[in-house]
Amino acid sequence: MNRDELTQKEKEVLDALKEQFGDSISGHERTFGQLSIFVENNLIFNIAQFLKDNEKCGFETVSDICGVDWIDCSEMRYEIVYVFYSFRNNTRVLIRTTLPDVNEPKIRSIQPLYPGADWLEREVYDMLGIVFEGHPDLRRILTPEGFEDWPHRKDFPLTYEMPHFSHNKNKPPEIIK
Amino acid sequence: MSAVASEKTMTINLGPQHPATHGVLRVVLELDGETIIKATPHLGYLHTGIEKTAESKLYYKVIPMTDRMDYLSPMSNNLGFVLAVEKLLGIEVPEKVKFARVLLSEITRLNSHIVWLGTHALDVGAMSMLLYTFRERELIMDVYEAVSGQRMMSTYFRIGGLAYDLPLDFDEKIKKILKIFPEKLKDYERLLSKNRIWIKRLTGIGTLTAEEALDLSLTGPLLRSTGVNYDVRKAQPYSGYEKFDFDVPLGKNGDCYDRYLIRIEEMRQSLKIIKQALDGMPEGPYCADVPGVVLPPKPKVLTEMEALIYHFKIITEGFKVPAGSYYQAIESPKGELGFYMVSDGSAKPYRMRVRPPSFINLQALEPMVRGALVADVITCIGSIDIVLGEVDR
Repeated sequence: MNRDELTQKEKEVLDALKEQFGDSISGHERTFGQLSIFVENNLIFNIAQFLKDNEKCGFETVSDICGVDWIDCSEMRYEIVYVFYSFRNNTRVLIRTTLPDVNEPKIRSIQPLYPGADWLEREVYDMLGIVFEGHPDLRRILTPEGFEDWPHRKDFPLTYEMPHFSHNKNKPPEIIK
Repeated sequence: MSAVASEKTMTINLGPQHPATHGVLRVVLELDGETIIKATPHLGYLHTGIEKTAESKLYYKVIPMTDRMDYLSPMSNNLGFVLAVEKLLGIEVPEKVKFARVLLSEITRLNSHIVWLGTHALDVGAMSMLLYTFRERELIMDVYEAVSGQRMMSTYFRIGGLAYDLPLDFDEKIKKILKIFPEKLKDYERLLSKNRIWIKRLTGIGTLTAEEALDLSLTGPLLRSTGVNYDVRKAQPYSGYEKFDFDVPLGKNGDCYDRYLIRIEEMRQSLKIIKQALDGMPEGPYCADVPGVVLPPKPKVLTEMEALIYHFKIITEGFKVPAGSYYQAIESPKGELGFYMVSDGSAKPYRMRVRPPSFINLQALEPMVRGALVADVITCIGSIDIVLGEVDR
Protein backbone atom coordinates (compact mmCIF):
# COMPACT_ATOMS: atom_id res chain seq x y z
CA MET A 1 0.00 0.00 0.00
CA ASN A 2 1.15 3.48 -0.72
CA ARG A 3 2.26 5.30 2.34
CA ASP A 4 0.14 8.35 1.75
CA GLU A 5 -3.02 6.57 0.74
CA LEU A 6 -5.76 6.42 3.34
CA THR A 7 -7.75 3.28 3.92
CA GLN A 8 -11.51 3.37 3.37
CA LYS A 9 -12.24 3.64 7.09
CA GLU A 10 -9.64 6.32 7.73
CA LYS A 11 -11.04 8.35 4.87
CA GLU A 12 -14.53 8.11 6.33
CA VAL A 13 -13.31 9.25 9.73
CA LEU A 14 -11.38 12.14 8.27
CA ASP A 15 -14.27 13.26 6.07
CA ALA A 16 -16.74 13.06 8.94
CA LEU A 17 -14.42 15.15 11.13
CA LYS A 18 -13.86 17.73 8.40
CA GLU A 19 -17.57 18.01 7.75
CA GLN A 20 -18.32 18.59 11.41
CA PHE A 21 -15.44 20.85 12.40
CA GLY A 22 -14.37 22.45 9.14
CA ASP A 23 -11.23 24.53 9.45
CA SER A 24 -10.48 23.44 13.00
CA ILE A 25 -9.03 20.29 11.46
CA SER A 26 -5.84 21.93 10.35
CA GLY A 27 -4.42 19.00 8.42
CA HIS A 28 -3.54 15.36 8.36
CA GLU A 29 -0.66 13.12 7.43
CA ARG A 30 -0.23 9.43 6.96
CA THR A 31 3.25 8.29 7.78
CA PHE A 32 4.42 4.69 8.11
CA GLY A 33 0.84 3.59 7.62
CA GLN A 34 -0.51 5.60 10.51
CA LEU A 35 -2.98 8.46 10.28
CA SER A 36 -2.38 11.62 12.31
CA ILE A 37 -4.96 14.39 12.34
CA PHE A 38 -3.92 17.85 13.49
CA VAL A 39 -6.62 19.78 15.33
CA GLU A 40 -7.10 23.04 17.23
CA ASN A 41 -6.58 22.67 20.95
CA ASN A 42 -9.80 24.43 22.03
CA LEU A 43 -11.98 21.83 20.33
CA ILE A 44 -10.37 18.68 21.68
CA PHE A 45 -13.31 17.83 23.92
CA ASN A 46 -15.84 18.14 21.10
CA ILE A 47 -13.66 16.16 18.76
CA ALA A 48 -13.22 13.40 21.33
CA GLN A 49 -16.97 13.35 21.84
CA PHE A 50 -17.57 13.19 18.11
CA LEU A 51 -15.07 10.37 17.72
CA LYS A 52 -16.81 8.42 20.44
CA ASP A 53 -20.46 8.99 19.49
CA ASN A 54 -20.44 9.25 15.72
CA GLU A 55 -21.42 5.99 14.04
CA LYS A 56 -18.82 6.29 11.34
CA CYS A 57 -15.99 6.76 13.83
CA GLY A 58 -16.85 4.64 16.85
CA PHE A 59 -13.62 5.10 18.80
CA GLU A 60 -14.46 3.38 22.06
CA THR A 61 -11.17 3.88 23.80
CA VAL A 62 -8.23 6.22 24.16
CA SER A 63 -5.11 4.07 24.21
CA ASP A 64 -2.59 6.68 25.12
CA ILE A 65 -1.99 10.36 25.74
CA CYS A 66 1.51 11.65 25.20
CA GLY A 67 2.93 15.12 25.72
CA VAL A 68 5.93 16.34 23.77
CA ASP A 69 7.88 19.48 24.54
CA TRP A 70 9.05 21.29 21.39
CA ILE A 71 11.13 23.91 23.14
CA ASP A 72 12.87 25.32 20.05
CA CYS A 73 9.74 25.71 17.95
CA SER A 74 8.54 29.30 17.57
CA GLU A 75 4.82 28.70 16.88
CA MET A 76 4.09 26.32 19.71
CA ARG A 77 5.63 24.75 22.73
CA TYR A 78 3.77 21.57 23.66
CA GLU A 79 2.23 18.92 21.52
CA ILE A 80 -0.32 16.50 22.91
CA VAL A 81 -0.90 13.28 21.03
CA TYR A 82 -4.07 11.30 21.69
CA VAL A 83 -4.08 7.75 20.40
CA PHE A 84 -7.65 6.65 19.77
CA TYR A 85 -8.55 3.11 18.89
CA SER A 86 -11.75 1.69 17.49
CA PHE A 87 -12.32 -1.98 18.27
CA ARG A 88 -15.31 -2.08 15.95
CA ASN A 89 -13.38 -0.95 12.88
CA ASN A 90 -9.88 -1.96 13.95
CA THR A 91 -8.64 1.54 13.26
CA ARG A 92 -6.10 3.59 15.13
CA VAL A 93 -5.94 7.36 14.77
CA LEU A 94 -3.55 9.84 16.31
CA ILE A 95 -5.14 13.18 17.15
CA ARG A 96 -2.43 15.79 17.58
CA THR A 97 -2.83 19.25 18.99
CA THR A 98 -0.43 21.98 20.05
CA LEU A 99 -0.28 24.41 22.95
CA PRO A 100 1.55 27.75 23.04
CA ASP A 101 4.41 28.59 25.38
CA VAL A 102 2.58 30.17 28.29
CA ASN A 103 3.09 30.03 32.00
CA GLU A 104 0.31 27.55 32.66
CA PRO A 105 -0.67 25.68 29.50
CA LYS A 106 -4.25 24.48 29.57
CA ILE A 107 -6.40 22.07 27.63
CA ARG A 108 -9.81 20.61 28.30
CA SER A 109 -9.87 17.18 29.86
CA ILE A 110 -11.48 14.29 28.01
CA GLN A 111 -11.72 12.25 31.20
CA PRO A 112 -15.54 12.72 31.45
CA LEU A 113 -15.87 11.00 28.08
CA TYR A 114 -13.12 8.42 28.39
CA PRO A 115 -12.60 7.40 32.04
CA GLY A 116 -9.42 5.63 30.93
CA ALA A 117 -7.84 9.00 30.24
CA ASP A 118 -7.80 9.70 33.98
CA TRP A 119 -4.29 8.55 34.84
CA LEU A 120 -2.95 9.33 31.39
CA GLU A 121 -3.86 12.99 31.82
CA ARG A 122 -2.53 12.99 35.35
CA GLU A 123 0.77 11.72 34.04
CA VAL A 124 1.00 14.39 31.35
CA TYR A 125 0.22 17.00 34.02
CA ASP A 126 2.80 15.53 36.34
CA MET A 127 5.54 15.41 33.71
CA LEU A 128 4.87 18.53 31.63
CA GLY A 129 2.69 20.73 33.80
CA ILE A 130 -0.17 20.89 31.35
CA VAL A 131 -3.41 21.56 33.21
CA PHE A 132 -6.39 19.51 32.11
CA GLU A 133 -9.47 21.60 32.82
CA GLY A 134 -12.45 19.63 34.01
CA HIS A 135 -10.39 16.71 35.30
CA PRO A 136 -11.96 15.66 38.59
CA ASP A 137 -8.76 14.70 40.38
CA LEU A 138 -5.74 16.34 38.80
CA ARG A 139 -2.95 15.40 41.19
CA ARG A 140 0.63 14.41 40.53
CA ILE A 141 0.89 10.70 39.98
CA LEU A 142 4.50 9.51 39.66
CA THR A 143 6.66 12.15 41.30
CA PRO A 144 6.76 12.38 45.10
CA GLU A 145 4.53 14.64 47.14
CA GLY A 146 5.73 18.23 47.25
CA PHE A 147 7.66 17.97 44.00
CA GLU A 148 7.51 21.25 42.18
CA ASP A 149 9.16 20.93 38.78
CA TRP A 150 8.02 19.44 35.50
CA PRO A 151 10.57 16.74 34.67
CA HIS A 152 9.70 16.07 31.02
CA ARG A 153 10.13 19.66 29.93
CA LYS A 154 13.25 20.00 27.87
CA ASP A 155 14.62 22.76 30.10
CA PHE A 156 14.60 20.40 33.09
CA PRO A 157 18.15 19.07 33.32
CA LEU A 158 18.78 15.38 33.42
CA THR A 159 21.02 15.41 36.47
CA TYR A 160 18.86 17.69 38.55
CA GLU A 161 18.46 16.76 42.16
CA MET A 162 15.90 18.43 44.35
CA PRO A 163 17.20 19.08 47.87
CA HIS A 164 14.78 17.54 50.33
CA PHE A 165 16.03 19.38 53.40
CA SER A 166 18.89 21.62 54.44
CA HIS A 167 20.69 22.00 57.75
CA ASN A 168 21.36 25.62 56.95
CA LYS A 169 18.28 27.43 58.16
CA ASN A 170 19.27 30.92 57.10
CA LYS A 171 20.13 30.20 53.51
CA PRO A 172 17.74 28.53 51.12
CA PRO A 173 19.20 25.31 49.75
CA GLU A 174 21.01 25.79 46.50
CA ILE A 175 19.78 23.90 43.52
CA ILE A 176 22.45 21.97 41.65
CA LYS A 177 21.59 22.04 37.99
CA MET B 1 -19.46 6.92 45.16
CA SER B 2 -18.58 9.55 47.67
CA ALA B 3 -16.62 8.32 50.59
CA VAL B 4 -16.91 10.57 53.59
CA ALA B 5 -14.68 9.66 56.46
CA SER B 6 -16.93 9.36 59.45
CA GLU B 7 -17.00 7.46 62.69
CA LYS B 8 -18.14 4.42 60.82
CA THR B 9 -15.30 4.21 58.34
CA MET B 10 -11.67 3.42 58.87
CA THR B 11 -8.72 4.20 56.65
CA ILE B 12 -5.94 1.67 56.31
CA ASN B 13 -2.82 1.65 54.29
CA LEU B 14 -1.92 -1.34 52.13
CA GLY B 15 1.70 -1.27 51.07
CA PRO B 16 4.05 0.05 49.79
CA GLN B 17 6.11 -2.68 51.44
CA HIS B 18 3.71 -5.57 51.16
CA PRO B 19 4.59 -8.80 49.38
CA ALA B 20 1.14 -9.19 47.85
CA THR B 21 1.27 -5.89 45.98
CA HIS B 22 3.92 -7.31 43.63
CA GLY B 23 6.32 -4.47 44.20
CA VAL B 24 5.89 -1.11 45.82
CA LEU B 25 2.27 -0.21 45.32
CA ARG B 26 0.49 1.69 48.03
CA VAL B 27 -3.28 1.54 48.23
CA VAL B 28 -5.19 3.61 50.76
CA LEU B 29 -8.36 1.75 51.62
CA GLU B 30 -11.43 3.31 53.17
CA LEU B 31 -13.30 0.61 55.03
CA ASP B 32 -16.71 0.20 56.54
CA GLY B 33 -16.24 -2.86 58.67
CA GLU B 34 -14.53 -5.12 56.20
CA THR B 35 -16.21 -3.70 53.12
CA ILE B 36 -14.21 -1.38 50.91
CA ILE B 37 -15.81 1.97 50.19
CA LYS B 38 -12.91 3.51 48.37
CA ALA B 39 -9.45 2.48 47.24
CA THR B 40 -6.89 5.05 46.15
CA PRO B 41 -3.67 3.71 44.61
CA HIS B 42 -0.55 5.81 45.10
CA LEU B 43 2.20 5.20 42.56
CA GLY B 44 5.67 6.35 41.83
CA TYR B 45 7.82 4.56 44.42
CA LEU B 46 9.76 2.95 41.58
CA HIS B 47 9.77 5.92 39.22
CA THR B 48 13.15 6.11 37.54
CA GLY B 49 12.40 8.42 34.64
CA ILE B 50 13.15 5.97 31.86
CA GLU B 51 11.35 8.14 29.29
CA LYS B 52 13.45 11.15 30.21
CA THR B 53 16.70 9.21 30.37
CA ALA B 54 16.06 7.78 26.91
CA GLU B 55 16.18 11.32 25.49
CA SER B 56 19.87 11.54 26.37
CA LYS B 57 20.94 8.17 25.04
CA LEU B 58 21.79 6.82 21.63
CA TYR B 59 19.07 4.62 20.21
CA TYR B 60 20.78 1.32 20.81
CA LYS B 61 21.54 2.26 24.41
CA VAL B 62 17.84 2.52 25.20
CA ILE B 63 17.25 -1.21 24.68
CA PRO B 64 18.64 -2.32 28.08
CA MET B 65 16.39 0.21 29.82
CA THR B 66 13.29 -1.28 28.23
CA ASP B 67 14.19 -4.62 29.79
CA ARG B 68 14.02 -3.11 33.19
CA MET B 69 10.48 -1.83 32.89
CA ASP B 70 8.61 -5.09 32.85
CA TYR B 71 11.31 -7.38 34.13
CA LEU B 72 9.15 -10.45 33.66
CA SER B 73 8.82 -9.91 29.92
CA PRO B 74 12.06 -8.27 28.76
CA MET B 75 11.91 -9.63 25.21
CA SER B 76 8.45 -8.17 24.57
CA ASN B 77 9.62 -4.77 25.70
CA ASN B 78 12.69 -5.00 23.47
CA LEU B 79 10.47 -5.98 20.58
CA GLY B 80 8.17 -2.98 20.94
CA PHE B 81 11.09 -0.58 21.02
CA VAL B 82 13.08 -2.05 18.15
CA LEU B 83 10.01 -2.33 15.93
CA ALA B 84 9.20 1.35 16.46
CA VAL B 85 12.75 2.42 15.62
CA GLU B 86 12.95 0.08 12.63
CA LYS B 87 9.76 1.61 11.31
CA LEU B 88 11.26 5.09 11.53
CA LEU B 89 14.46 3.88 9.87
CA GLY B 90 12.58 1.90 7.23
CA ILE B 91 14.46 -1.31 7.93
CA GLU B 92 12.99 -4.64 6.89
CA VAL B 93 14.46 -7.52 8.89
CA PRO B 94 15.12 -11.01 7.48
CA GLU B 95 12.53 -13.76 7.91
CA LYS B 96 14.65 -15.65 10.37
CA VAL B 97 14.77 -12.65 12.69
CA LYS B 98 11.00 -12.33 12.58
CA PHE B 99 10.54 -15.98 13.46
CA ALA B 100 13.11 -15.86 16.24
CA ARG B 101 11.51 -12.72 17.67
CA VAL B 102 8.05 -14.26 17.63
CA LEU B 103 9.37 -17.42 19.24
CA LEU B 104 11.19 -15.58 21.99
CA SER B 105 8.26 -13.21 22.61
CA GLU B 106 6.04 -16.20 23.17
CA ILE B 107 8.63 -17.77 25.48
CA THR B 108 8.46 -14.46 27.33
CA ARG B 109 4.69 -14.72 27.54
CA LEU B 110 5.11 -18.13 29.15
CA ASN B 111 7.58 -16.64 31.59
CA SER B 112 5.31 -13.77 32.57
CA HIS B 113 2.19 -15.90 32.89
CA ILE B 114 3.89 -18.64 34.83
CA VAL B 115 5.30 -16.22 37.38
CA TRP B 116 1.86 -14.63 37.56
CA LEU B 117 0.27 -18.00 38.24
CA GLY B 118 2.70 -18.81 41.03
CA THR B 119 2.51 -15.45 42.77
CA HIS B 120 -1.23 -15.13 42.33
CA ALA B 121 -1.74 -18.55 43.86
CA LEU B 122 0.59 -17.56 46.68
CA ASP B 123 -1.49 -14.42 47.33
CA VAL B 124 -4.66 -16.41 47.43
CA GLY B 125 -3.21 -19.04 49.71
CA ALA B 126 -2.09 -21.94 47.52
CA MET B 127 1.56 -21.77 48.49
CA SER B 128 2.94 -24.85 46.78
CA MET B 129 2.08 -23.47 43.31
CA LEU B 130 4.93 -20.98 43.53
CA LEU B 131 7.47 -23.75 43.92
CA TYR B 132 6.08 -25.71 40.98
CA THR B 133 5.92 -22.73 38.64
CA PHE B 134 9.40 -21.52 39.51
CA ARG B 135 10.72 -24.98 38.80
CA GLU B 136 9.31 -24.75 35.25
CA ARG B 137 10.51 -21.19 34.93
CA GLU B 138 14.08 -22.45 35.07
CA LEU B 139 13.58 -23.98 31.61
CA ILE B 140 12.73 -20.54 30.27
CA MET B 141 15.63 -18.95 32.09
CA ASP B 142 17.88 -21.53 30.44
CA VAL B 143 16.72 -20.36 27.03
CA TYR B 144 17.33 -16.73 27.96
CA GLU B 145 20.79 -17.59 29.19
CA ALA B 146 21.57 -19.62 26.07
CA VAL B 147 20.62 -16.86 23.65
CA SER B 148 21.83 -13.79 25.48
CA GLY B 149 24.03 -14.84 28.36
CA GLN B 150 21.67 -13.36 30.92
CA ARG B 151 18.83 -14.98 32.76
CA MET B 152 16.51 -12.05 33.25
CA MET B 153 17.58 -8.84 31.52
CA SER B 154 18.28 -10.42 28.18
CA THR B 155 18.67 -7.34 25.92
CA TYR B 156 18.79 -9.75 23.01
CA PHE B 157 16.97 -7.87 20.27
CA ARG B 158 18.81 -5.19 18.35
CA ILE B 159 17.67 -2.53 15.94
CA GLY B 160 17.75 -4.44 12.68
CA GLY B 161 17.98 -7.93 14.06
CA LEU B 162 19.33 -9.90 16.97
CA ALA B 163 22.46 -9.47 19.05
CA TYR B 164 23.96 -12.81 18.02
CA ASP B 165 22.87 -15.84 16.10
CA LEU B 166 20.75 -18.42 17.90
CA PRO B 167 22.93 -20.89 19.84
CA LEU B 168 23.50 -24.44 18.68
CA ASP B 169 21.53 -26.06 21.48
CA PHE B 170 18.59 -23.70 20.97
CA ASP B 171 16.31 -26.26 19.31
CA GLU B 172 17.01 -28.78 22.01
CA LYS B 173 16.12 -26.33 24.78
CA ILE B 174 12.89 -25.24 23.10
CA LYS B 175 11.90 -28.84 22.45
CA LYS B 176 12.35 -29.54 26.12
CA ILE B 177 9.91 -26.75 26.94
CA LEU B 178 7.46 -28.01 24.34
CA LYS B 179 7.61 -31.45 25.88
CA ILE B 180 7.42 -30.55 29.55
CA PHE B 181 5.06 -27.59 29.61
CA PRO B 182 1.83 -29.19 28.35
CA GLU B 183 2.05 -31.84 31.07
CA LYS B 184 2.79 -29.30 33.73
CA LEU B 185 -0.08 -27.06 32.63
CA LYS B 186 -2.36 -30.04 33.09
CA ASP B 187 -0.94 -30.51 36.57
CA TYR B 188 -1.57 -26.89 37.46
CA GLU B 189 -5.13 -27.14 36.28
CA ARG B 190 -5.62 -30.32 38.22
CA LEU B 191 -4.39 -28.55 41.32
CA LEU B 192 -6.40 -25.37 40.87
CA SER B 193 -9.25 -25.36 38.37
CA LYS B 194 -11.65 -27.45 40.41
CA ASN B 195 -10.14 -26.65 43.78
CA ARG B 196 -13.00 -25.46 45.97
CA ILE B 197 -10.98 -22.80 47.77
CA TRP B 198 -9.53 -21.50 44.50
CA ILE B 199 -12.99 -21.23 42.95
CA LYS B 200 -14.42 -19.54 46.03
CA ARG B 201 -11.64 -16.99 46.16
CA LEU B 202 -11.75 -16.13 42.45
CA THR B 203 -15.25 -16.57 41.06
CA GLY B 204 -17.32 -13.41 41.01
CA ILE B 205 -14.44 -11.33 42.39
CA GLY B 206 -13.30 -8.18 40.61
CA THR B 207 -16.02 -8.41 38.00
CA LEU B 208 -15.91 -5.98 35.10
CA THR B 209 -18.30 -5.58 32.21
CA ALA B 210 -17.19 -5.11 28.63
CA GLU B 211 -18.34 -1.46 28.63
CA GLU B 212 -16.39 -0.68 31.78
CA ALA B 213 -13.31 -2.35 30.37
CA LEU B 214 -13.49 -0.36 27.12
CA ASP B 215 -14.11 2.88 28.99
CA LEU B 216 -11.07 2.28 31.19
CA SER B 217 -8.84 1.58 28.14
CA LEU B 218 -8.01 -1.87 29.46
CA THR B 219 -6.15 -4.34 27.29
CA GLY B 220 -4.73 -7.82 27.53
CA PRO B 221 -6.25 -10.70 29.49
CA LEU B 222 -8.14 -8.18 31.61
CA LEU B 223 -10.09 -6.97 28.58
CA ARG B 224 -10.46 -10.39 27.03
CA SER B 225 -11.95 -11.79 30.25
CA THR B 226 -14.97 -9.54 29.61
CA GLY B 227 -15.48 -11.10 26.18
CA VAL B 228 -13.99 -8.38 23.98
CA ASN B 229 -11.94 -10.00 21.25
CA TYR B 230 -8.91 -7.77 21.02
CA ASP B 231 -5.38 -9.01 20.62
CA VAL B 232 -2.84 -6.81 18.85
CA ARG B 233 -1.27 -9.93 17.36
CA LYS B 234 -4.53 -10.57 15.49
CA ALA B 235 -5.87 -7.05 15.06
CA GLN B 236 -2.74 -5.37 13.76
CA PRO B 237 -0.11 -8.07 13.25
CA TYR B 238 3.54 -7.15 13.64
CA SER B 239 6.79 -9.05 13.20
CA GLY B 240 5.09 -11.70 11.04
CA TYR B 241 2.39 -12.82 13.49
CA GLU B 242 -0.09 -13.11 10.61
CA LYS B 243 1.70 -16.30 9.52
CA PHE B 244 0.95 -18.16 12.71
CA ASP B 245 -2.14 -20.07 13.58
CA PHE B 246 -3.43 -19.53 17.10
CA ASP B 247 -6.64 -18.71 18.95
CA VAL B 248 -7.44 -15.85 21.26
CA PRO B 249 -9.12 -17.22 24.37
CA LEU B 250 -12.05 -15.16 25.64
CA GLY B 251 -13.92 -15.07 28.93
CA LYS B 252 -17.56 -14.51 29.72
CA ASN B 253 -17.95 -13.21 33.23
CA GLY B 254 -15.02 -10.83 33.49
CA ASP B 255 -14.01 -12.05 36.92
CA CYS B 256 -10.71 -13.24 38.37
CA TYR B 257 -11.46 -16.89 37.60
CA ASP B 258 -11.95 -16.11 33.91
CA ARG B 259 -8.62 -14.31 33.84
CA TYR B 260 -6.97 -17.37 35.33
CA LEU B 261 -8.51 -19.61 32.66
CA ILE B 262 -7.52 -17.17 29.90
CA ARG B 263 -3.90 -17.01 31.00
CA ILE B 264 -3.65 -20.80 31.20
CA GLU B 265 -5.12 -21.09 27.72
CA GLU B 266 -2.83 -18.34 26.43
CA MET B 267 0.13 -20.38 27.60
CA ARG B 268 -1.17 -23.31 25.51
CA GLN B 269 -1.56 -21.03 22.50
CA SER B 270 1.95 -19.69 23.04
CA LEU B 271 3.29 -23.22 22.97
CA LYS B 272 1.44 -23.72 19.70
CA ILE B 273 3.09 -20.63 18.22
CA ILE B 274 6.50 -21.65 19.56
CA LYS B 275 6.16 -25.04 17.87
CA GLN B 276 5.20 -23.46 14.56
CA ALA B 277 8.04 -20.95 14.78
CA LEU B 278 10.58 -23.62 15.60
CA ASP B 279 9.44 -25.92 12.81
CA GLY B 280 9.31 -23.17 10.24
CA MET B 281 12.48 -21.34 11.28
CA PRO B 282 14.12 -20.31 8.01
CA GLU B 283 17.83 -20.25 7.39
CA GLY B 284 19.49 -16.92 6.93
CA PRO B 285 21.31 -14.07 8.58
CA TYR B 286 20.43 -13.03 12.12
CA CYS B 287 20.32 -9.34 11.31
CA ALA B 288 19.56 -7.06 8.40
CA ASP B 289 22.38 -5.83 6.22
CA VAL B 290 22.16 -2.11 6.85
CA PRO B 291 25.63 -0.58 7.05
CA GLY B 292 25.83 2.20 9.55
CA VAL B 293 22.90 0.98 11.65
CA VAL B 294 23.51 -2.70 12.33
CA LEU B 295 26.88 -3.68 13.74
CA PRO B 296 28.97 -5.67 11.26
CA PRO B 297 29.87 -9.24 12.27
CA LYS B 298 32.94 -9.50 14.45
CA PRO B 299 35.13 -11.51 11.99
CA LYS B 300 34.64 -8.74 9.42
CA VAL B 301 35.53 -6.04 11.94
CA LEU B 302 38.86 -7.77 12.53
CA THR B 303 39.69 -8.18 8.85
CA GLU B 304 38.03 -5.38 6.87
CA MET B 305 38.67 -1.67 7.17
CA GLU B 306 35.13 -0.53 6.28
CA ALA B 307 33.55 -2.83 8.82
CA LEU B 308 35.88 -1.51 11.49
CA ILE B 309 34.97 2.08 10.65
CA TYR B 310 31.26 1.31 10.75
CA HIS B 311 31.64 -0.50 14.03
CA PHE B 312 33.49 2.42 15.52
CA LYS B 313 31.04 5.00 14.22
CA ILE B 314 27.93 3.15 15.40
CA ILE B 315 29.35 2.67 18.89
CA THR B 316 30.59 6.23 19.32
CA GLU B 317 28.16 8.39 17.36
CA GLY B 318 25.21 6.12 16.88
CA PHE B 319 23.10 6.48 13.76
CA LYS B 320 20.73 9.21 12.72
CA VAL B 321 17.05 8.37 12.53
CA PRO B 322 14.94 10.35 10.05
CA ALA B 323 12.58 12.86 11.63
CA GLY B 324 9.09 11.60 12.27
CA SER B 325 6.94 9.89 14.83
CA TYR B 326 5.35 6.50 15.09
CA TYR B 327 3.18 4.67 17.60
CA GLN B 328 4.02 0.98 17.68
CA ALA B 329 1.71 -1.29 19.64
CA ILE B 330 2.52 -4.88 20.50
CA GLU B 331 0.76 -7.48 22.60
CA SER B 332 2.92 -7.88 25.66
CA PRO B 333 1.85 -10.51 28.19
CA LYS B 334 0.11 -7.81 30.18
CA GLY B 335 -1.72 -6.10 27.35
CA GLU B 336 -1.07 -3.53 24.68
CA LEU B 337 2.43 -2.16 25.05
CA GLY B 338 2.89 0.97 22.98
CA PHE B 339 6.03 2.84 22.06
CA TYR B 340 5.47 6.32 20.69
CA MET B 341 8.81 7.40 19.27
CA VAL B 342 9.49 10.96 18.16
CA SER B 343 12.66 11.60 16.24
CA ASP B 344 14.02 15.00 15.26
CA GLY B 345 16.60 13.55 12.90
CA SER B 346 19.41 13.22 15.42
CA ALA B 347 21.02 10.14 16.89
CA LYS B 348 19.03 10.27 20.10
CA PRO B 349 15.26 9.93 20.51
CA TYR B 350 13.60 13.33 20.88
CA ARG B 351 10.87 11.76 22.93
CA MET B 352 10.11 8.21 23.88
CA ARG B 353 6.70 7.57 25.31
CA VAL B 354 5.82 4.17 26.67
CA ARG B 355 2.22 3.12 26.96
CA PRO B 356 2.59 0.69 29.82
CA PRO B 357 -0.20 -1.90 29.97
CA SER B 358 0.10 -2.44 33.72
CA PHE B 359 -0.22 1.26 34.47
CA ILE B 360 -3.45 1.61 32.56
CA ASN B 361 -4.86 -1.72 33.70
CA LEU B 362 -4.22 -0.71 37.29
CA GLN B 363 -6.88 1.97 36.89
CA ALA B 364 -9.39 -0.84 37.03
CA LEU B 365 -8.44 -1.63 40.63
CA GLU B 366 -10.77 0.95 42.18
CA PRO B 367 -13.95 -0.14 40.32
CA MET B 368 -13.00 -3.79 40.86
CA VAL B 369 -12.65 -3.65 44.62
CA ARG B 370 -15.41 -1.19 45.46
CA GLY B 371 -17.87 -3.01 47.69
CA ALA B 372 -15.60 -6.05 48.04
CA LEU B 373 -13.80 -7.34 51.11
CA VAL B 374 -10.22 -6.61 52.16
CA ALA B 375 -8.97 -10.07 51.19
CA ASP B 376 -10.34 -9.55 47.68
CA VAL B 377 -8.09 -6.55 47.11
CA ILE B 378 -5.11 -8.89 47.04
CA THR B 379 -6.89 -11.19 44.61
CA CYS B 380 -7.74 -8.25 42.35
CA ILE B 381 -4.23 -6.79 42.36
CA GLY B 382 -2.92 -10.23 41.52
CA SER B 383 -5.37 -10.81 38.71
CA ILE B 384 -4.59 -7.47 37.04
CA ASP B 385 -1.01 -8.76 36.78
CA ILE B 386 1.00 -5.64 37.43
CA VAL B 387 4.72 -5.16 37.46
CA LEU B 388 5.57 -2.00 39.30
CA GLY B 389 8.70 -1.41 37.29
CA GLU B 390 6.44 -0.83 34.35
CA VAL B 391 3.72 1.06 36.19
CA ASP B 392 6.18 3.67 37.44
CA ARG B 393 8.90 3.42 34.80
